[in-house]
Amino acid sequence: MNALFWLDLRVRVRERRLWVIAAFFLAMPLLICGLSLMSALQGREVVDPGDVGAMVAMCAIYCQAGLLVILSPLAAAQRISQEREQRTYAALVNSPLGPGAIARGKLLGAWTFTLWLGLLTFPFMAVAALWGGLAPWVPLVCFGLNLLAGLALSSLALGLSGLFGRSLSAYLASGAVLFLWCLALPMIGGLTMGLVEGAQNPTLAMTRAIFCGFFLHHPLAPQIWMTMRGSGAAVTYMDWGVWVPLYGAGVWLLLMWMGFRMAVRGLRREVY
Amino acid sequence: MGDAMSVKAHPGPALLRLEGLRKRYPNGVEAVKSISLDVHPGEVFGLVGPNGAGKSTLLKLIAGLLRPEAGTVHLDGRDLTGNPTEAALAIGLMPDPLGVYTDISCREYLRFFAMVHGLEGPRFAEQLERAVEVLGLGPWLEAEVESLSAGWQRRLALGRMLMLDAPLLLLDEPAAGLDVKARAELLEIVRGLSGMGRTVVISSHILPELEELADRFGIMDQGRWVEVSAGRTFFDRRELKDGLGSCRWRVLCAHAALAREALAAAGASPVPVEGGVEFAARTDEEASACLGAAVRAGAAVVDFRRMDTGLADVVLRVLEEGSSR
Repeated sequence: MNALFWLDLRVRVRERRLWVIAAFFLAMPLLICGLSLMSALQGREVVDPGDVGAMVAMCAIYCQAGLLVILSPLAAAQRISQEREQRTYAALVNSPLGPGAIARGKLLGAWTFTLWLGLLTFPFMAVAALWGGLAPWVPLVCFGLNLLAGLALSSLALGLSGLFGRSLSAYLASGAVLFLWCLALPMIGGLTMGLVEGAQNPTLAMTRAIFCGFFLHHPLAPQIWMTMRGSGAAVTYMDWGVWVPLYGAGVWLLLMWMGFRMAVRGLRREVY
Repeated sequence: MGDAMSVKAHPGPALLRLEGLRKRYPNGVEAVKSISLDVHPGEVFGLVGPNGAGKSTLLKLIAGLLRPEAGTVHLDGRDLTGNPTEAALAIGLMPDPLGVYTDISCREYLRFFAMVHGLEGPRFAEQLERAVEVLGLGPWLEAEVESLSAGWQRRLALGRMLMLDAPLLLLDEPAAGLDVKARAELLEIVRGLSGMGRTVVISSHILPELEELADRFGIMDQGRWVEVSAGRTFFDRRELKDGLGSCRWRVLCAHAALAREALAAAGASPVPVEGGVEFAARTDEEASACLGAAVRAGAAVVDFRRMDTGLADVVLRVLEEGSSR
């Protein structure tokens, strides 16, 4: 067992805030699913359980994805910088664990936190999907995609953490990357699409290029495609079959690798 | 002084051999300038010098935390230059400032470092028991590291090194921030480690303790050796004693102010101390004349004694000589 992963588990289990985060993580989907269930039932004489099931399952999926997207980088953002801050870095680097093993232990620790939070909301998705309206495989695949997105974000945040000596700087840098990826890029993509559509009739290749560049790698994009396909809704713009989630997951894996390499590089730095 | 001073105090091959180590920081400061040294098995080598002399940089170069621009670090014949992974197996480093994981118990802290070094199962239990016994950590084993005092946290860090059987220990200011009792206890432990055959390179500003502990001393300034002692004969060197005014003398008396005036008039430079004054004299006759002056002035002398030359005196003198060269 990786020693840093072991240490991380010991430390996290003792943290009170972990349980607060878990309670929040459970409360949010519960609230949103409850509200969506109420709105689905309101003023309707005949209720199709499939509609309700699909709505609740999708709420749970997006809620889980949204929370994981925010919490995963936060869980990893201070992992290396904190070692510098608390002056344990020299003793850590002066150990037979190489930078790769240290980064692996740190990433695994952060991802376990993500996995644990993800598992808390999985029953919502699964039970809602059993009501029908959404293919049963959708929550399962979306759960996997959410965890993969969380892992990619954790890895990026870990890489950034290796560049900084202060946790606050690492948090701010992770927040900036998160903002760029999740909000700024889709906004820029939307504006670009609007400009292109206004000036000319865009070709299919141009549309696809814009989608690939700005939207399809978004941490929620494959899940959106998946739930649309699973509920039988028409998938406009993103009608390339399974290549849509594969492209998104591929970009995540690439970012994950980059983040990991950055973390290893950061750990190879000299200890002044 | 030459840069490559290597004085063998112990017979046999050196455990640690530094050859021409050089380190320049990205800001252009050359912190270590061609340092060479041999340290022999079981030896305690004291590293002294003013702040910014390059002591911590030298220890980090040995531990592989910094990559040297030039030079090599050999431990027991193996080249460890700039290789922290390899160095970590053979070298225990207590850095300054010392950082410890605070959210875990002492047992978990030691277990973590044992896992890092691949020490598990019955061997871990055996080594843990030994470290706990030597350091007296027993009552604190289940306590959170955060709850320990600075002295006990340092003991814990020593426990990590003791458990891992590293033949070479690098201690950077191990007694910094500790009270007198904790300092004495810690240095006693280091003495014990040396007795167990560990080789220790220790950097410290607390010179009286270091003087008792170390077999040899290296005085660094501006990244160079100013002096490397050939054992404890260091303190008896004639030119050092001459430079220090043979030695210092202490006069305890009822009227210190009168004694101070008389000694100043006799050409000495008296320094007030509790209950009297201290002054330096080159010869016994000169000291005797100063005493006579104090007695004649009516200082009511009750005690007059020669003070031994201490490491602090030697270091100051050597640094003074070095800077005037």
